[in-house]
Formats: sequence, C-alpha cells, structure tokens
Amino acid sequence: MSLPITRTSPILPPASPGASRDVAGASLALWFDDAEQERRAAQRLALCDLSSLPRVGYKGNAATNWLREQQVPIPAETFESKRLRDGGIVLKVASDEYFLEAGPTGLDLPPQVANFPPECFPIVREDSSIVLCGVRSKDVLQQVCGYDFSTAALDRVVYTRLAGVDAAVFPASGFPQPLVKIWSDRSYAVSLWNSLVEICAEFEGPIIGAQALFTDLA
Amino acid sequence: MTSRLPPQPGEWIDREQPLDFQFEGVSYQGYTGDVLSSALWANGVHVLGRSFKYHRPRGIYSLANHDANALVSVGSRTNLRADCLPLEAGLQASAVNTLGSASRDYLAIMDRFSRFLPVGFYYKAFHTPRRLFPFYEKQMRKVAGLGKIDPQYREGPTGKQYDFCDLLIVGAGPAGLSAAVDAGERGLRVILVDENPHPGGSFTWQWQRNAEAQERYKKLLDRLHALENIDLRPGTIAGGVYSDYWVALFDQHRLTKLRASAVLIASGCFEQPAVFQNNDAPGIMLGSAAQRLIHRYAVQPFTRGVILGANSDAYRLASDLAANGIDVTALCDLRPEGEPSTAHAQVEATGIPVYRGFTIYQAETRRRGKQLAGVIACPLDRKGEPQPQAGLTLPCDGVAVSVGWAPDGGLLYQAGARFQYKTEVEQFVPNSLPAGLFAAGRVNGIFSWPDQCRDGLRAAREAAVYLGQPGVTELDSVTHQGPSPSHPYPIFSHPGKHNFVDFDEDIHLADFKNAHQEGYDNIELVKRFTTVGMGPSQGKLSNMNAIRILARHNRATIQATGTTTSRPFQHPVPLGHLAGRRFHPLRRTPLDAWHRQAGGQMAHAGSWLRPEYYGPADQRDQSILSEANQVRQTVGLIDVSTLGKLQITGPDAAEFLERIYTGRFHKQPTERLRYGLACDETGTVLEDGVIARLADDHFYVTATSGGSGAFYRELLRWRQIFQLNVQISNLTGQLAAINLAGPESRNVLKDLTSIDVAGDAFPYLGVRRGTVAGVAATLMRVGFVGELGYEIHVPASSALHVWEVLADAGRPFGLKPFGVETQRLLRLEKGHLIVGHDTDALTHPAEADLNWAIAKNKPFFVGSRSLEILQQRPLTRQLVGFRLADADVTPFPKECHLIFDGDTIVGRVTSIARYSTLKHPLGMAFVQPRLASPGSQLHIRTAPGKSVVGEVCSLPFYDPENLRQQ
Repeated sequence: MSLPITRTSPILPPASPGASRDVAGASLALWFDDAEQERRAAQRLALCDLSSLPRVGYKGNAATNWLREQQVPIPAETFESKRLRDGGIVLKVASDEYFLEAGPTGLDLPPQVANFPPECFPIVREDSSIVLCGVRSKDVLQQVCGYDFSTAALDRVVYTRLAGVDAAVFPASGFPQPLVKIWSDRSYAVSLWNSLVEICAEFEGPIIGAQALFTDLA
Repeated sequence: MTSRLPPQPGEWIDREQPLDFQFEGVSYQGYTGDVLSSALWANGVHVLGRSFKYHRPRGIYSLANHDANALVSVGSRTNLRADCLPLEAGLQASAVNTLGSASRDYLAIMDRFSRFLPVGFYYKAFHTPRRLFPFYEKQMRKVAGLGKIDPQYREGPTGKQYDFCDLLIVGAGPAGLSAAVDAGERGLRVILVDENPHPGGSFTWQWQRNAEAQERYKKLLDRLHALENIDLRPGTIAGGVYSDYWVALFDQHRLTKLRASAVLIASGCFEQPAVFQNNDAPGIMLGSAAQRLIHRYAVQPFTRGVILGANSDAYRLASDLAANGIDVTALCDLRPEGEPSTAHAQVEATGIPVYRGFTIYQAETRRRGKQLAGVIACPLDRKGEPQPQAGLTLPCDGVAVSVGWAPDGGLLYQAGARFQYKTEVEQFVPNSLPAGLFAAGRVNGIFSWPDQCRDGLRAAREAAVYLGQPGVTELDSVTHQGPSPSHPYPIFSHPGKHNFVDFDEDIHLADFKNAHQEGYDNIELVKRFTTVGMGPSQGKLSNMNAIRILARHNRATIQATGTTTSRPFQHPVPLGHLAGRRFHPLRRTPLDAWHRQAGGQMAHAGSWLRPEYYGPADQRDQSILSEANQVRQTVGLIDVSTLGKLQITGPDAAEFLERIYTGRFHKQPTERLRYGLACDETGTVLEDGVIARLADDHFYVTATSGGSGAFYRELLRWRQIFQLNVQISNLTGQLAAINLAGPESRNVLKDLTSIDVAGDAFPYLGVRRGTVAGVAATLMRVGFVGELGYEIHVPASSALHVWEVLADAGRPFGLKPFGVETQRLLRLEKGHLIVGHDTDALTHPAEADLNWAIAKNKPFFVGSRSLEILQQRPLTRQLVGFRLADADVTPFPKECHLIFDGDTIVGRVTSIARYSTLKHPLGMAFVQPRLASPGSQLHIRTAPGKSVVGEVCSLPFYDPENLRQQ
C-alpha cells in the first residue's frame, strides 16, 4: 500500500510523468516521454530531479556509534562516502556529522526513534537533490562552477558553489556514464535547477526520470 | 578580385568556397578564410576606415589586431576589427566614425583644421564662458566616438566557463609550439592559445619561403596533434592575468576563466611603425602586414613598393615581395652600415636598389589622401636627421615598413614580470619573472626561428621543473645574435605635422614636443595629456615610439624613462562576453508556486521571494488592509518559511546561548519559549528571535529572515572561540514555517493536530512537538502579529501538504492567506520592531526600548561590556511610535524620511503604514529623547519645503494589555 502523497519536490516537473512511483510519501518521476530515449540521453547529457528521495542527518559525538549500531556503514574520513543497501549514500560531512540519502526505493535509512542516545541528534535534511549525468556533464559544470572536477575523486563530496548556489557535489561511481549528484539548500533549488536546465538545453540535454539512472526501477 | 595572387603554400583561404559580402553597400567577393580587410584589399578597396580625430583615410597597417585603422559595424555589432573579422557569406559591414562613408567622409574637413586641434585643446578651450559649455559638449559628442551602439539590441546570455590546466601557453608561434609539444610529451595538461585561427605564428608569414622552417613547423604540428593532453585553442585571446594565474581567455563565443598552475608567454612582438610625414596613408603598412597578406590570404599588398627597413626582416621582406612579382623600387635602410647578413646579398641579386642611411621623409598622396603616389626618400646625417634637400622622389603605390619590434608583454607585466631595456635588441625584455611565469621567443628578445624554438624548449623545461616533473634536463638561455632587430629612433620630424606617432588618436610628433614644453616629462603624464596609447589599440604601435621620443626630450635613457602600466584587457573584448550569463540565485519558500497561483504579488525580501499580499497590483492598500482585518477578526495564514531556523544541540547548548544572547537560558523549562536578543561586541543589536527548549540539550532558535545567514556564521565563529561542546545546524531551508493567526486559529487547528491546543494545555510562549495533518511538526505559541497564533514548523517537503490542509480546514472560518506587507502592518500595530528595519548598525538595546530583554547580573554575554559603558551615557535617540491624523496627506511620509526641529534633524521614520486596522496612519521613528514623550509633535519632512506632523504615542498601538495573543 502506498502512502498518501504528503511530500513534494521543490522542483516542478517539466511535464506530467509517463510513469512515477511513490517514495516515502513523495512522487518520483520514472520517465516523462520515452523511457528508452531518456536512457540514451543519460549517456550523453541529462538532468534528473531526485529531491523526492528521503534523506536525514545525524550530528554529535555519539552519532558514529549509533549509526554503526543501525548497521550503517561508516566512511573512514570526512568527505568520503559509503553505499547503503538499496543504493543510498552515507556521507561523512564532518568529524561528528553524517548525511544519508536513501536509494530509489526510499527504504534504506535508519528508523526514526523516539529517543536517541545523548549526543546523537537527528538533523532534518530536506536538501534538493539533482543529478547531472552523461559524458557532456563536464561541459555544464565548467559553466557553473570554478572547481576542477577533472581531478575530483569519485564517491567523495566536494563543497563548492554552482551557479551562485552553495552546493555539495558528489561524482558518483557505479553508473555506466559520468554522474554527479548535487545537493543544495532546498530554497535555492529552483534557481539552481533553472540555470542547469538552461545550460543543458544549449547542449541538447533533456530532463529525464529516475528510471534512466536506476535500471532496477523499470 | 584584382589583387589576388596565385595559390600560396599554406594559405588560409579556401578557394573552393567563395563568399559574397558587402562593404558600405557595395558587393564584393572573397573566400572562406579571408578576414574582411584581406578580402577588401583583394578587391582593390584600400580605404577601410577613417581616423578618430582628423578623419584621415586609413587602410591596412598591421593586419594583426594591433591597430584600429579599420573598425567596422556589422548589424548591431560595432567596433569590430576588420583585420581579424572572419569573412562570412552575406556579411554587410560599414566603417565606423564617418559622416558619409569611408571613401567619402564629410568630416574629413577636420584634417584641414588639425593645426587648431592639437592635443589638449579640449582641456584649454570651451571653458569660458561657462554657460556655453553644454553646447560645446553636445557638439563634441556628435563628432567624437567610434561605432554607435544599438541600445535596443538584445542577445541571449553568453556563456562563461571555467577551465584548468597545468601549463597555459600564450602564442602558438615557433616558441609556443615547441614549448607546448615538449610540455605535452611530459604528460602535462597544456592549453595553447593563439589569437589567430591557425597555429604557427611567424611560421605562417615570415618563414614561408624557408623550407627548413616549414619542415619544423609541420613536424611540430604533427607531434602536437598526436597529444590528447594538449588543448590547442586557435582564435582565443588571453585578455588578462590575475592573481594565482587566473587568466581570462576570450574566444568568439565566451569568456573562459582559466586557472593555470603555470603560464608561459610566447606572445611575440608588435612590429613598430616609422614616423615620417603622411606615414598613415593607405598603402603604407608594416612589413609583417605585407607578408601576412601574401602568405595567409594570397593578396598582393601593392604593385610597386618601397621598403623602409632597419633590420634583416626588411631584406627577407624584399625577397618575399620580389618573389611574388611586386616591383620593389627601393629598400631604404636607416642604418648607414646596412645589413651584414646574407640576406643583403639575396636582395642585391634581385636587383632591388638598397639605399643605406636613408629614410622616407614624406609620403605623397593623390585623391585627397586616399591613394599613395610615391615617397620622398632622403639620406640621414650622422645624428640621424633627414636631409630632404638631397631627397629622391620614388613613385610607388605601397610602402612596407620594417624598422623594429616592441614586445607583446602586457600579460607578463600584469603577472608581475619586470622588464629591462636591452640595447642589444633595442627592446624591453623580461629580466625578472615571478615563480610559475615563463617567457619565450620574440617577447623574450629572440628573433630567429631556430632560436625561438630552442627558447620555447628552454622555457617549457623550466616550467616542467616548476610543476614538479621528474627527470627534466634544463637548457641554457638563448640570446640574440647579430645586429639589433629594432632601430633605436625611427622617428623623423617634418614641418607638415602629419607624421603620426599614434594612429588611433591622430597624435603626431610635434604634439609630444608641445606636451614636454608644458611640463609633461613623465611617461604616465605624457600618456594622459596626449592620450597616446589610450585608443582602441592601447598603444601597441605607439607606446614604444612615445617612450623613445620622451627619452630624447628628457635626455634620458629608455630604461630610465620607463613604460606605462599594462592593465587588462590586453586586447579589446566584447562587453557581452564580460556580462555573460550571470547567476542571481533567489531563495524560494516551498509554497512559492502556491502563492503565485493564488495571486500573490511576489517581491524580493533580501535573498527571498515572498508574497507581499494577494490580489491585483493596483489594489495594494485595499488588499493589505483586508488581509489585516481578516487576521484581526477571524483567522489568516502566512508563509513564514523565510525565518531563520537554527538547531542548537549538545551538552553545552544552554551555556552557549547564555553567552550569545542577553537573556538567561540555563533554567529555561523545556516546552517553553523565550525572547532572545543578541548583540555584537560593540553592544549593537544584531539579531532577535524566539528560543524554544525542546530538551535539556536541544534548543530550536528562530532568527530574522534577512540576518539568519550571517548570524549562523557568527554563531560558528563564537563556537570556535568558546570551545564548547555544542552543534549548530542551520535548518532555515530545511524547514518550512506557517503562522496560523487570528482568534479562530485554535478552532482551525484543533482537529488537525495530535497536540492538545487548548489554552491551558498549550499556553502562550509554549512549544510542542507532534503532528499536523499527519506530518511531524514543532508548534510555537507566538504573537508577532498580536493575535492568538500558532507557528507551525514542518519539513519543507511537507509544507504544501500542511498548508493546503490548513487552508481547507480554515475555509469555514473564512481563513485567507496574508502576505508579508500585511504582517508588517500587524506587527507595527502591535509595536513589534524588526531588527535591521527599525534598528540600524548602531542601535543598542536601550535606544530600542529593549533593556527588559537583558538579564540582570549576568556575568557575561557578547556585548555586555560595551553595554555597561553605553548605559552610563545619556541616550541620544529613542525608538517611539507615532500616529498621523490624516491618511490622505500628500506627499505621504515614507520610511527613512527625516524629522526636523526647525532646521535641525532630530530623527527619522523607520516604519510607517498609511492604512491600518486602527483607522489612522501609524509608524515608528527614532527621535531625540526630548521628543520621545507621548504627545510630542514630530515634523516629518516629506518633500522640500513640505512637512507632515505626527504625534508620539505609547507603544503598542494595538491591544496594550496583550489579551488577544494569550
């Protein structure tokens, strides 16, 4: 049984999706016009809004141990990452702070409990989550960011500024094409998205649904 | 195409692709690969433009973006250089700065008045009578200026981009190519830029008939194209070098902000003009321009020419011209000793007469200066002065000048290089380079192509060592061999005063003499007085001669005379490239789309977009008043997601807040709110908000919409200083906040929440956590607008859901949304100040009647020491409320209008509302303490000579007993 839709992305979809699925009370567009075309576009250049995926943060001296108890893999160093069971990501963003984003099923975050141990504090994380993918994604990044992503390590987050917006950029491994996840303050999501859409359009990069990235959603 | 030569080896034009184009309304044909200047010259058009001041006819001079003789407009684009404007099919160009056309410019009459328009005339004339200056200015503006811009022209945003490399090499000539290949073969990420559409530099014009040079050129290109780590960017200009080798690159489409680890400048030299009478006539050009015309565009520069030379380049040029069927009447060599190299013998073998120790004294023209008829050449005496009485008349239709070079060193200067004048080459060469900066080739004083290649290798090796490359064999420096390639003073006086030093600004030799006589004996002052080097070419062809002239006037060395300061941009760049695509990110609340759909009038509020009110734009006042009455009478709903929202956690959270805020928090009960006032170290009011205690080690803090970002950073700073065990999280964008306010708010909410909202269960200044519309929420009982209210904080992704459920539930109660302007009115009625709006950067708590918020006997908080001092001083101003009797008074006072007592400023308005639910205008103002008592009259100046009288009232205006928000 799917939950009632109570959560929305800050980004309005370009059109009604051809198919979507519920993820933790939000609608996630799987594809818009043509799933196969979108899959091909993802190889070259495309944008995808994954803001509907649930995410959460934890802070405090006890956060590491508590997460470990929840079977969450802990990255060794700050800015490094580990994958969750369902394709989600856990990032160590400071010595005592973690950021977790669920995979496309939205099921692999630790359970919310009534009482956390002392010095482990959950943090509401409602960041926008945008995926820029394809071999030409570097051309788009070059127009919006002064960081040299050609030297950036995979699966390691970079805090920088994209199109004037503070953002965490995560070049991800495990995809057949170059792919970066971009997390930013949700209130800037529309500005950032519009800038990226405008530049992607110049390279004929469309907006795609999540199925083009996560084949097991098909 | 009358002057097109047979195919030349390596020519840049594609004869298979002819193109039709127009210049000044006349149709011509050229080829793909031509630039406008070359195509026009091939068609026999020799007047390409007019000079800036005297409107003298001008033709090709450098054919290399080094002069501004041929500036054209194409459509809405203007001041384009015909020398580097690629020919396109259907191109329609016209010269700038003419009244009529380039061929027939009615403003050419200015040349006849040139003796009355010396440099500086406009500094001295037109000042009296002063009343006529606007007239003079208008007339001068009519005739001054170059291309006219089209203010209606709009183009889409020009993209900018960032890029990165290990080594940037500027200039793809022999030195640059050699350096790039060597660095690339070491695995370095190299970007090689050149302003020309093809790499090769002097390989493509000066050494085309040298088989060995061409073989080296081909091999270098083959090696370069085999390397994927070399990014060759032809048609790209390096416009400026900034800190840490941030280099601005411009191509046809965009600005690239390049960050290079090291920079190698192999930008070459600008060939320099000689100064003689009528040296600007069409047909007179630099030797390098003639060679570019021949070898790149297969265009004959002239049919019968004279060469004025002072180096071996002039002799190679003579051979080049002769080999292409041009009748070279004479080679006048400024040097009495002539050319010592074998080049001399090659010229003699062609039968070209060589006149040693000769100069061109004067050029003769016909057709009102539009066509060269011949030159008068004459010998020079021992001092280098021309002897015109012994002159020879040499008929010709062209002159090629090859008397010397000046380094294209602007980028090196900008990057911090120091130059020294070397008499061996009569040129400034870099003698001190900062770490990571390298120079090679002609700019480094190296002139033969094999030496330039070696110098490029040498510089590339040094760059590789700097970049940490292992196993690099460094090479020795290369020095110039043979006579100087530049003449020390190719400048000759003439009574006719048309011997131009600066073609851009029509500055001739006597202008420098005049400037020096007026006391301008410093090169920077001479530049500003004469405007030499201040035209579109930025002195590429004039600065060096200006320095030589000034040095001679000062009887000083060139080294002592120095150079002017080089600033970006090195070459002209389109303003559109600089503007580019700009990013102005705006913050939107999660309900932004809903507000727009509901008719919200969106406005900027700091970095946020917020609805001011809902309704038509022409019913602003009515809409705000209607919304305010709705809140006062029933219930309203406002999106306050812009509020700063900070989570303070950890064992030391309470202690941290005690130190930041003026109040006390150690003993604050959980589920209770307290007002928080924060000051900076000077005691100035910095922030305010409410502080909710959710657990012993967990606080939730609100801050002002505009100040929360800076306040968050300030908290992080204090955390570092205090070294407390506390975590600070900025949740401003993560959470939405909705204020449900009005006497019916409890009734709207009670069935939607898991929290008991009864008055005794959830009192004023309480905070509860539960659910609203099934969504986890934090609720706070606050009364910013002065009514019963609930501020509901939910995850941003759920805001729309919660808002819509509340709106549906409130419909039976007449619930309507209200905007931020309505909220400002309501809080003003309630007498609540807004920090940053009703306070300024100097306001301390006592001035704003906030002393009640400062805890007594508190050992420390930020600003406490300053406040102790301030409180011992008398107040100089106080924030008060005031009312006006009449809402229809005009002009109606506005925020920041001043309050006067006679002619003395005694205060200013901070907030004002024309219409209120209290039926009269009201506001707040800072006034002198003597005017702060209720009943005092405030004279608010609304316009010059007009004042409105307000009366000071006690605050709050509305519900002084605070009964409604309980």
